[in-house]
Amino acid sequence: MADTTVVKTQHTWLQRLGLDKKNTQKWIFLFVAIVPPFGGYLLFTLFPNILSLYYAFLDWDGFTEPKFVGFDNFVTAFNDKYVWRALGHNVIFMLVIPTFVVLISLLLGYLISNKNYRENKLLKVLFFFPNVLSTVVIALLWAFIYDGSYGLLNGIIELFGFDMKNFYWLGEERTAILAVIPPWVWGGVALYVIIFANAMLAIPKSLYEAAILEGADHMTRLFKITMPLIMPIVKVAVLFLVVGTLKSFENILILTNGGPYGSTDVIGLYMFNLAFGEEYRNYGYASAIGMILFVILVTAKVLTDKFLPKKDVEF
Amino acid sequence: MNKTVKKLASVGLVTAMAVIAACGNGGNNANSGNNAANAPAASNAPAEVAVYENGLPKDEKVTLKVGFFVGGYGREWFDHAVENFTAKYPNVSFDITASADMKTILSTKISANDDKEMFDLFNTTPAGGIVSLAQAGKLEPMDDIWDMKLPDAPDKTVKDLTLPGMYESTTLINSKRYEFAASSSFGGLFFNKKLFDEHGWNQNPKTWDEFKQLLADIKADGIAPITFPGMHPNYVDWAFGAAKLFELADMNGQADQYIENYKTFTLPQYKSTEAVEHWNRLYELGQLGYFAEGLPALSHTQSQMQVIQKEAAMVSTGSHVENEMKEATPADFDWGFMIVPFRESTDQTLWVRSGTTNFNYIWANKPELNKKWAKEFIVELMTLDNQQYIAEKAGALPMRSDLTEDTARTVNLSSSAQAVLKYITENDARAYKASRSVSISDPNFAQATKLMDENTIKFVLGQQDPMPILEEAEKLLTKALEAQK
Repeated sequence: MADTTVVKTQHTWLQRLGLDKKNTQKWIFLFVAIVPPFGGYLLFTLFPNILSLYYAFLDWDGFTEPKFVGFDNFVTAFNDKYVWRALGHNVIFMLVIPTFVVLISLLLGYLISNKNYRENKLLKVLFFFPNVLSTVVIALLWAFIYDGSYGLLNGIIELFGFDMKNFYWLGEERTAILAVIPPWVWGGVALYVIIFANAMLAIPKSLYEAAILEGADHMTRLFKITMPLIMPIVKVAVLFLVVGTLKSFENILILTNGGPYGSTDVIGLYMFNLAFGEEYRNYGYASAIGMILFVILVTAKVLTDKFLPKKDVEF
Repeated sequence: MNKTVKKLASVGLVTAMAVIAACGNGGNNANSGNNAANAPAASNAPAEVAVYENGLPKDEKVTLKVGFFVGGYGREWFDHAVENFTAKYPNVSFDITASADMKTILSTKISANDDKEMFDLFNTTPAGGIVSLAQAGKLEPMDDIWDMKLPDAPDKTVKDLTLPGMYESTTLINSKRYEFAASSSFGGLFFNKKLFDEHGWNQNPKTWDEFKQLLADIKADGIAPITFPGMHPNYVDWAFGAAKLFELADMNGQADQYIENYKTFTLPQYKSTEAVEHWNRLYELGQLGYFAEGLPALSHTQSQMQVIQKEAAMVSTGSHVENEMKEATPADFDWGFMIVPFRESTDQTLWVRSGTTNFNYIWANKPELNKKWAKEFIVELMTLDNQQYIAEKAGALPMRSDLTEDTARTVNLSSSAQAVLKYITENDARAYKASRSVSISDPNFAQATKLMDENTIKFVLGQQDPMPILEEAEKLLTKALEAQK
């Protein structure tokens, strides 16, 4: 009798907590599904970022006792001509690279998905190939292409009778900033051409058949059916590319190290050198620039959302 | 009878308790002075514990965590030294993390502020240098190493048999030495002797005018006289760096004062008479077109390849070049070496960028025994066997004077090492390692450094008059120093 009472009491208590067998399983599943990734996010993303915000108010080289300096780092950053110059280069890359990547990827994706070339599968692999290469490999490959003495680019131009006189494309201010764009675009197209092509292939054929029956030409089908239907994917691609061009600096580090004379310096590289430079090191100042970059990234995201077409079409 | 038994029993009990008490305390007080005085037998016990001739215990196992920077000299020589050391001292083992990116690893570990995780011993500076670390008490002073006996020459100290000038040029921070270099290394211009022989170029210009004549001769033969990796402009320092500032100061009779000002960032720095003269000379060479075309785009390897491929005559780099480029160097290539003479006559002193490499640093917050073994290992690196090995296999220059003076041994050194030693001896060059004893964290200093780095290439290509840039850099440095106060 007494045992029965205890069991009943326990049962009521578990039920009150919503922990009957079914609910317990649900909670275990939710725990396993949410806690590891969310914990990882908190630990490895959110926490370091919050810590960076704190560092931004310090004069700290990472070794010695940090000194609180209030907003000094931010004031210095706003008066630092190298910050503005680097951001200027980032803006150029942000405007040019996503535009080229998206346009070239759309064109190639459209050709792959709408033209029944025999080599379509091979083309897909070839187009995707740069995506499996690391940024370092891509940068080194293009550094060889641009080499003044043995570079492929000079070799090709000289085939047309021009004497390139050992012209170093990455060694001249006026050409270096242009020369770093193609490797970036080449690496970017590799991924998005496959994404766009697959998105296009997912559009039901019946839509095109109906359009053809109604006399729609290629351009009409492209702009009235294909583009509206894949626009959500294009928007995401633009967002990733814009954010990526603002943050990335690895290829610049390898191709030019920001030179010549700072003509290809970008904000990520400047920040990296301030935090981990050989001659100078200040986590505080680098973090302040990181915080400014964070604000710019959020602004870029908001602007991308604002100016890209909002109307999504479904089938 | 009963009383006697009781007395004996009492004495026995007291004795037994005393023995028990002595045994109980023995472990804790084995090293105390009182015990040693009162119980000679107990005090003799630790003396019987097996110790090596260096006084360190044989029975205590120690693992040294080492952060090893894999640079131009590779790591084979280090593994050889570790193998010898562990064979000699079997209770010591090594836990080695080797990486070409050791600077970043060090910076991360140091910033984590976890002494347990930190290396006992590492052989490169973390990003940002060691001044602030040493000032914060994070590094172990190494002054005592210089007075330690050499294992293979027990009647001599490390200082006794080190190359002249090496002890003096070790960086002092708060009057202490926190680094010890196991090899010497020299910076200057490295070239292919055979190419020089072929063209009849002067391989040992003694003065600035002779040097300029050499550059003119090389250019007239259609080869770029000098190259260096423009992507990393501070490589120009290997041949034209602070040693040349000291040489100019020495010509003005102010070397000591200048070096002191250099170390402590005493103004003027960028606008000092010597600095202005130094950059103007580089600008002059630039205007005459003596630096390689496309220099701003060159990486470290590309610039050295230019010399190997006879596109450029000389490269500004260090004596590690031969080992670094050994896979790409043709068999008929013979490395030569020269220092850029800023002097105007041969009675003035020629200064060379010294000169030490494979720096070793010991983390201060580590067990005393680990630090002692780390120092023993550093001293072991100075044995003739290890010095010979690194010189022959890796191309580093030895630190032992008795090795460099022994022609039977030097004949086996790499061609670049032999060229350097021969040049320095013949020209009686003064080796000096430039270093700062003050650390500046103000961002204005970062801007000053960046300004100079970016414009160095413009100076050497004759595209920018140095003066306005030096003035701007001086202003930024002044601001940084004021903020630092």
